[in-house]
Amino acid sequence: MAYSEEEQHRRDIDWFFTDQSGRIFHIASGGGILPKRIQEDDNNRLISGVLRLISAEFKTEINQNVINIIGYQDQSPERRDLYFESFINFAKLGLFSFDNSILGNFENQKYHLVAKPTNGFLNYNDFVQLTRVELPIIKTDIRIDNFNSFDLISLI
Amino acid sequence: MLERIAYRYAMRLRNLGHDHAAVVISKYKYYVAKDTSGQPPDPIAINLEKKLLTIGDIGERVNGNLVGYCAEVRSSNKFLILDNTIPLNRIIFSQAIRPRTMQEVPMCNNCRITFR
Repeated sequence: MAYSEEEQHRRDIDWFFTDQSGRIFHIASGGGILPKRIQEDDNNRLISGVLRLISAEFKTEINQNVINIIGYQDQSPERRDLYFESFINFAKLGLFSFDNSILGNFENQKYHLVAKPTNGFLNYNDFVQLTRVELPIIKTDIRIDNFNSFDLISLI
Repeated sequence: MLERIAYRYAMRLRNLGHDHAAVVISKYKYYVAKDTSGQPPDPIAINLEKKLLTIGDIGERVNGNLVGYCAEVRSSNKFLILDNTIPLNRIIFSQAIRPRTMQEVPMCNNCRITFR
């Protein structure tokens, strides 16, 4: 069942895709609009559940520039940890984890990398073998060394 | 006080694994209500609906957001439905919180127009 506009607005949806090199991307919508292709991807609803089947524990790295992007320069370490937790958990599974950069704007297209695995990554073929769930394969030029906020939606 | 209630409410939803985009607490005198973003309230208070319709139809995408779907509208409607003489610009809101990250979510333009 496709995601309605109401559901996209109401929920902080985890959405996923893979690229031509087999990297898997996790994006937290933060109540923002999903790309058309993801809106119509029924498998996306299954993925958060099937990720529990994966026991991988990759080493992770966080994007230090996130603090500036989300305006957390004056926040306590505890508040910063609360922010990072969800994204680090996805990176531990070997996914490249991104977040919505501008909350409160349904039409926002800007996202930023939050956390990524550092000792390799979960390859899409391994993911399919483990979960039997397929992801949309999207040819993109997303650079995982870009630590700034960028228009992710137009790249996919 | 309101901020503390909102924080606790968001933390509870976070711990339960709920994926709401935002939660907010609204207050007018002795009325206090909490809610998340979601479907427009039904029934909706007459004065609130009238004001929202000056922005656009309920559910229409205006100023980058869906009219009537915000947590501010849903929470304040809980007491506006009991007393529709409450002036909309006198309602106090907590900062909206995103449970996943506990970040503050800025009020959207439609809610600014509705409640300011």
